[in-house]
Amino acid sequence: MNRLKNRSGQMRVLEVILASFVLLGALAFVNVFVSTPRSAVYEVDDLEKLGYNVLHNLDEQRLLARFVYIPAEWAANFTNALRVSLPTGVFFDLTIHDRNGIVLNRDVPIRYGDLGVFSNSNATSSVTYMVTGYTSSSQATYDPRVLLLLLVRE
Amino acid sequence: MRKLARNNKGQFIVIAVLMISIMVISVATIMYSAVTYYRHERWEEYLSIIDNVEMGSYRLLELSLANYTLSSNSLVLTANLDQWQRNLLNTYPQYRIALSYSVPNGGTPVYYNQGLSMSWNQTVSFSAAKASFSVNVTSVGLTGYKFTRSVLLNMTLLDVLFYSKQKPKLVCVRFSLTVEGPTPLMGVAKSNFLQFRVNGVDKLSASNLTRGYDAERNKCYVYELRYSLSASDTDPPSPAPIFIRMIDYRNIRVAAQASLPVITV
Repeated sequence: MNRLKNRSGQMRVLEVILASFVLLGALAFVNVFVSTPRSAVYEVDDLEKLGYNVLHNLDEQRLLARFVYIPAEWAANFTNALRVSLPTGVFFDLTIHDRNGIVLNRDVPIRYGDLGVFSNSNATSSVTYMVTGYTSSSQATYDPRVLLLLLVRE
Repeated sequence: MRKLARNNKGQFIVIAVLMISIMVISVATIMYSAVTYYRHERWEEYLSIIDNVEMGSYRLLELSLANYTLSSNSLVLTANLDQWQRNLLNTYPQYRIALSYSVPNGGTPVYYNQGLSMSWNQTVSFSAAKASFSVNVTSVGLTGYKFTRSVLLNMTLLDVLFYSKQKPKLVCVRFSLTVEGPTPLMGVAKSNFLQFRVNGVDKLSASNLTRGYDAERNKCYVYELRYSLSASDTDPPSPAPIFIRMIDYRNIRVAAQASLPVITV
């Protein structure tokens, strides 16, 4: 009976409830300003950067010109270099164009991934990269190639 | 009920705790949002394009210099740059990239002709190319992005070491190779050498190539083309006329020629 009459802590309980509302309100208010990343992994914008960085790195290492201008490199070395440079789960299809826009590797696809992946994926990005020419001991002529790298994510 | 209403001790502590809680939560949330902040900035893609333009311009300089050292056509760089300008505009039409360039003419110690220079058959011989660029990406109002690129292959003939007491006697022609920077040129193989003559006699096939760091005399990386003298060969004259012509990994050529002091060891 005494316990029922002991009502000295009721105000504290009310204060705690009020405080909880204030905290929840503050959380809800601040949450409006939080912009969470759209994807934790590689989203479309990142795919573009990723593809560009891969081509740029190959160019810096002086591999890209050899891969592009020597057709024997396309199927094996070029494709493998792109495969190991890109993370797993990212598929690509690269086309090499001459200065008139003609696709040079029509018969030799530089591709990784089933065609279905390219058709069905929502995260698709493409990178355009220019290569100026390839020198050998007997020739050094300006003959640009335009690389179009299509990237998709699973 | 009256007692309950009067039981109002400790409100300030509760308010303080509430305020501190709000502050902590707010700071934590702002920090979280700062760490995970991601928003695609529109100019980011233009940075990639500019990188491509810079790299392409540099490769074009290398290619043009390689062509110049092969053909001696001093207009090759400007002709290539004109085409590069047009091709950039066509490749990235949505960005409207306007590339302008200027090439040096004249000057010392490197005398340029339309951005290209070839000073061969000296003790210090080099092939060089240089151009300054300005990029405007008019679609985003980016104007006046400037950069200068230069390409160099330098060969400096140093001296000749003659190991007269060895059997067979050994002749070492020492020289240094540098590229722009100046950075020592590494990874040179004997196949990079096109001609090596000592006192007018071809010694390329009979010689070996080694590389080391000369901390005593020249304070630089030195390459040595060394060959043994047969019993019928005469000792090298002092000074010894040396001629070396080589090509680097970029297919840029250089040739150096001088009468070098012979140091008998």
